[in-house]
Amino acid sequence: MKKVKHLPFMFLLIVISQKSLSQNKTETVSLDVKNLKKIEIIELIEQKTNYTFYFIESWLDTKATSIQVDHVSIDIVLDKIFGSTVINYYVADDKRIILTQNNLVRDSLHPNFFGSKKTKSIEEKKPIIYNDNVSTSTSLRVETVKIGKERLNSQREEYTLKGVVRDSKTNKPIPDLVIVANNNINAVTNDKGFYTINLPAGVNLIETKSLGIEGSKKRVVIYDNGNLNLFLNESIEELDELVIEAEGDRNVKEAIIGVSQIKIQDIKNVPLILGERDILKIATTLPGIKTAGEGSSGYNVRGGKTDQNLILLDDGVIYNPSHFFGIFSAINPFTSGDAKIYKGNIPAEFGGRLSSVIDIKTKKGDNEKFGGEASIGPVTSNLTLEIPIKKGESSLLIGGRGTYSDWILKSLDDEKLKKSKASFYDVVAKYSHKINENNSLKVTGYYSKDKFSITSDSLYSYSNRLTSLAWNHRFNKKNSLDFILANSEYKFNIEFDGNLDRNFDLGYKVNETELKLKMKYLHSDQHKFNYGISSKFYNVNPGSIRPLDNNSIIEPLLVAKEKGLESAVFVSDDFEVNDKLLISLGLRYSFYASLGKSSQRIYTDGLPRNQGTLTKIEEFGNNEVIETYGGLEARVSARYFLGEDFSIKAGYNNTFQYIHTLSNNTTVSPTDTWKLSDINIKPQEAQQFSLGIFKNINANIYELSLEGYYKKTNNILDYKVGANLLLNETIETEVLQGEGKAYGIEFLIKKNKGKLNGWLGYSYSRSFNKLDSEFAEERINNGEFFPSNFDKPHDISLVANYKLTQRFSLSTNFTYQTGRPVTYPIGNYIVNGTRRVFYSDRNKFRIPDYYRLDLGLNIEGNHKIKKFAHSFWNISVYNVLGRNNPYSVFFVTENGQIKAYQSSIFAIPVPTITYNFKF
Amino acid sequence: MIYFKLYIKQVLALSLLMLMSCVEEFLPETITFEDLLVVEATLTDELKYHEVKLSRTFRFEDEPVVESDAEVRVMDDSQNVYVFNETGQGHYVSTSKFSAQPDKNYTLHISTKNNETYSSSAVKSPSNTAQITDVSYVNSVSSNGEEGIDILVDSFDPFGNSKYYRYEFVETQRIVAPFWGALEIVIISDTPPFKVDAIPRTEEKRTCYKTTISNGEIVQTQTNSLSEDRVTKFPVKFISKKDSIIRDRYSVLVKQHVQNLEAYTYYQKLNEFSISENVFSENQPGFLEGNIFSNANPDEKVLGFFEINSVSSKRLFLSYEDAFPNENRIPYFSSCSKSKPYLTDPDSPNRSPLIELVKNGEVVYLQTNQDFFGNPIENPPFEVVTRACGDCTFYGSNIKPEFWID
Repeated sequence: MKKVKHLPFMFLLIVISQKSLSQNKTETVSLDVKNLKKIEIIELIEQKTNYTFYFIESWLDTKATSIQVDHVSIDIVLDKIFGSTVINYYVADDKRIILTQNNLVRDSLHPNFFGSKKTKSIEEKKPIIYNDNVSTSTSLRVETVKIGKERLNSQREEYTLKGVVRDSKTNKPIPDLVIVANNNINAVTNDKGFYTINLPAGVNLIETKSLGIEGSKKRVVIYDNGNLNLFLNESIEELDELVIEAEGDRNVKEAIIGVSQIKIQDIKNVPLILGERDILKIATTLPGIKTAGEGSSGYNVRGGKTDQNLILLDDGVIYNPSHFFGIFSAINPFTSGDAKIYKGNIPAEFGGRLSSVIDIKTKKGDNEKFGGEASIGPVTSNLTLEIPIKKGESSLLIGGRGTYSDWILKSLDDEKLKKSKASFYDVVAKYSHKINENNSLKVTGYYSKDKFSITSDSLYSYSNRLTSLAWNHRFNKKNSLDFILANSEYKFNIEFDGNLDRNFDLGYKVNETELKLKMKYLHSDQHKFNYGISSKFYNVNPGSIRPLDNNSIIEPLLVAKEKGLESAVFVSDDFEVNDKLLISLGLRYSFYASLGKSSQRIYTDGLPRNQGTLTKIEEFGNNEVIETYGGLEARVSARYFLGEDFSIKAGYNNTFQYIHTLSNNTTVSPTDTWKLSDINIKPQEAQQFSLGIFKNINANIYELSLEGYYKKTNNILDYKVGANLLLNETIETEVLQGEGKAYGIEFLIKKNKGKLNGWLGYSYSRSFNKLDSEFAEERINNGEFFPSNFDKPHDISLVANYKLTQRFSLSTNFTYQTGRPVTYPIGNYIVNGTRRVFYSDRNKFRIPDYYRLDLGLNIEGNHKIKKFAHSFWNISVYNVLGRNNPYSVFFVTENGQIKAYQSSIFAIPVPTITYNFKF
Repeated sequence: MIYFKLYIKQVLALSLLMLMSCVEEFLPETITFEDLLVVEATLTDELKYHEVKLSRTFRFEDEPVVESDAEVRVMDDSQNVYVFNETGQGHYVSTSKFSAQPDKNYTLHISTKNNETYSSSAVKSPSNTAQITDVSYVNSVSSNGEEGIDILVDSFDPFGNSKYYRYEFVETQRIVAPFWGALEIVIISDTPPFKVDAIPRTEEKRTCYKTTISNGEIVQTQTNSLSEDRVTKFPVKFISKKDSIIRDRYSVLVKQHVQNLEAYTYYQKLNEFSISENVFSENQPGFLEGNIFSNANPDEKVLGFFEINSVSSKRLFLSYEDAFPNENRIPYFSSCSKSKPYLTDPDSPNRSPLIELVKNGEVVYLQTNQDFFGNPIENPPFEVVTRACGDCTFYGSNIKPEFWID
């Protein structure tokens, strides 16, 4: 017996040309073995026959095998032994049996080996030639895995590789892991760590990328459909990361400038307010994204107004992304997958808002196993269920969230608020169906509702509703199509039920339906095209009021409906000019038509609009085009590698916006209405130039970026002092349109791994508006540029997480911001015998600076004890320093005396405990 | 579900949340003060001496400053000039009685002692078609749960021209001293031996009237969104049940100003800028531009508004028992204490506590001190009561207003 115990390397290919497979197998074998290991059977054959086996023992599994044959050729015996394994065999003339793993030992050269001599009628597939000994720079230290065994007659070009990716330490599946094969085929693991990827036959270089997981590379030689389970290392000390940018090198690699990604999975360690993990609150810790203050809904991105953000949930627009005056966001954290925030360059497929696109995707429900997640916090509770409908094909994800009661308000220190109430809930459901390899369908439904009353006789409520349907079809490897149909509705209602004759019910509603066709064409490594069309139909009920009962003398009023159609064609190309230069060229042509039925008021040109300058009223029939606006929007950005992991990017972006909020408040209020552009109100426009340098250090552990931007806006809406916007049929007489400019630099450093991880961001940014006119009533601050309401030059945010042990981690969040501009009263005067204040020029002063420190302790449930549920505790203290951050200052005339007040929302440390569990 | 039970327990273990919103007062400091002219000029269709007030803005910590020695004129579009002369304290009163004529345009002209000149835009006088048809009251509960009454106004303009209304009111209350004595103490000798006497009162001290003019509060309504130009039971004022202004008999004169849209809007904004707001939203304040401008420098800021209103007024009377028939009358303005001070202090015969109190105006006569059998006692001679409780002139005027109906 002669055993090859240790072949230095596996044979790549043994070319034995003189014999064919079927020759010289005269010796027959009889065998009757039960439950023997393969190695034992081999030994038995060697004993009983003249055959000698050559192999490496570790290739053989120890499965018990039973064989019963009588005088059969050795081939049959070998087939029985190795048929279900990856072992190939070759029987040589001299009765040597060479076993190989995966590779087929060929006894003839491939027909193409010596040129194009075609001798066989069946075209033989190219042999897969792979030499383990070849040591090129790319294969250095890359492990090789072989999948399936090579079959001689296989005609397939592509095989499917499946598997589960697990954490090598905890054995937990790793979700959202990006798997990239050398030819750009990507797969992402689902929640259970499961992935499927189609690979061309042969050698593939596979890389895995994910947050907090060490990137890995494997060479996969694929001969057949197969499984590959990966066990990846997290660095020993790390567990839950606070990483925002997903793929390790995306920061430096992507052409697009000014984009951030937030993964909800990764933010659970950030200290919470009232027990809510909040994707949009986390966004505000990134440079360039701000809010006016605590308790103000809406986001100001790079000096833009709050209505200039397109907030998408599964392609549907959410008009009011906040609950409870902005203390909570309306996005359910459990059902959200990730969010991409485009604040610099906006991809050409998006449009209709000036400042940013916040693209939030609901995660896909698990289609294999039923599961769920729940959390119990002091104010809200949350339950999410993932229900497989048809195993492996379709699933349903349902998430719901609601408040317990109105008692938060009762504990407020404000007399007025104490007597008020507030409650909210939201539900989201997503159905995902993989119809076949090339077709998949996603349907999302979302509804959120808020109700509150500040005084005992009025009840405010507002709701968001959206449904979206997305069908993805893959024509072939290079072409695919997304068909998207989405409808959103936002409405609010005020019911006033006092005891007098003016009880009313007031309502507002905006509804939009969008149809979008998006095509992807992967032309080549150099060009990747995205193109498509979209069309959106708006239907706005700008306000209605009706008497609540018979005693009410309120006359029913219905401000005429507004309709508009916003359409666009877009095309973009990611053009890789060379290894260093990547250009993303995007063009979008947007076109807006304001549609009847409508009466449009025409005013004398060049005079302030009011009753006196009204010249005529033009009537437009149903769906008649009233006015059109449109324009070409460029979305261009480029990346150039200055060195390894070091790039410079530049971008130019221009955008149009045809729908505007009418808001008389310095912060967003739930009664802000949206108004479509019409004959009197022009669309808003913006242009942005951005430039940035990006550097990753130490294998993407550290990410650094420095970005600068300059933005010019036109036709931004502002209002005359004290304008009345609700139920106003001549809103154009209250509106001013002016120009704006904003500029800033943003610095961000992130540490993605290690015991200590997190990020530190700083931005210096300014934002100004200008409203000039020859008429005093249309001029603000003498027609000079003045700081906008959200001009906060200095902004520092630190989010850090420190892992104490496997189960305990500490997190902290520190924010400092320059106080926002405010219009101060600068003196007194007497009218009607009463002291009153008069105000300075708009936004001439600032409220005191804002700073806040939050701390959190996260406790993971014990992994060792087998439990139904995996639990997680979060103990947070919001505003540890008890800083009395003034949210606003206001002045009140009380008994003829002026009193100044500052209000803060969370003036003391607010502790919160939340309990989360997964099952 | 097993987990369900499991986590119910966890909920109970959750610590209570302490959420606090905080509104606190602070002392603002004037940052950059601007010294501006302030004009108060409301002409009405009443035939009277009209008044214009001029003042200047002042710092928070300062006292009001008046604008004296200015020349004030009002002109109409028929070139009539009405001259206003200063009567002191920045008050300028027209030299003749006049009333604003419907549909005429008026302009205000001011020339200050520094030779700065200002003019208003032309303001059209409204037609005086709206009349208050009724002033009534209703028992109600305020938005913060307090019981009281609402004073309601009804008005009607059959021609639909009025639309914008602002209200002022003059309140008068009757005050009846609860411990009134028919006599008053006269001091005959304030040196020992002390001597006093009680003589019948010559002046009315039991029933008085106090009038307050509404200040500051801007009460407005509009009928623009209504089917007819009718103000129905519009609450102009809430009075708490515990407000001593209505403890006896109360009267209110409601004065309705019909404003034009510009004036209405100006007052509305003025009001919005000075009412308390809730924590979560904030109106955008700004400099409130009126209709008076500097002739030399159009960018110069001037505060105030020149308005011409048509006026209608009506009076309401009500007694506490009418509004709250089955309830006890609320206590008097101040607590009343009765005492019997010695005429001559037994411990130091050189002092007379009674005379000291009477001289200081702290007490008034209530009744003569008597023994069990009804004989007057010499020392102390009288029972007295704190002046506020025995003399209504402490609070009001003892002259009964002409309009008063008991």
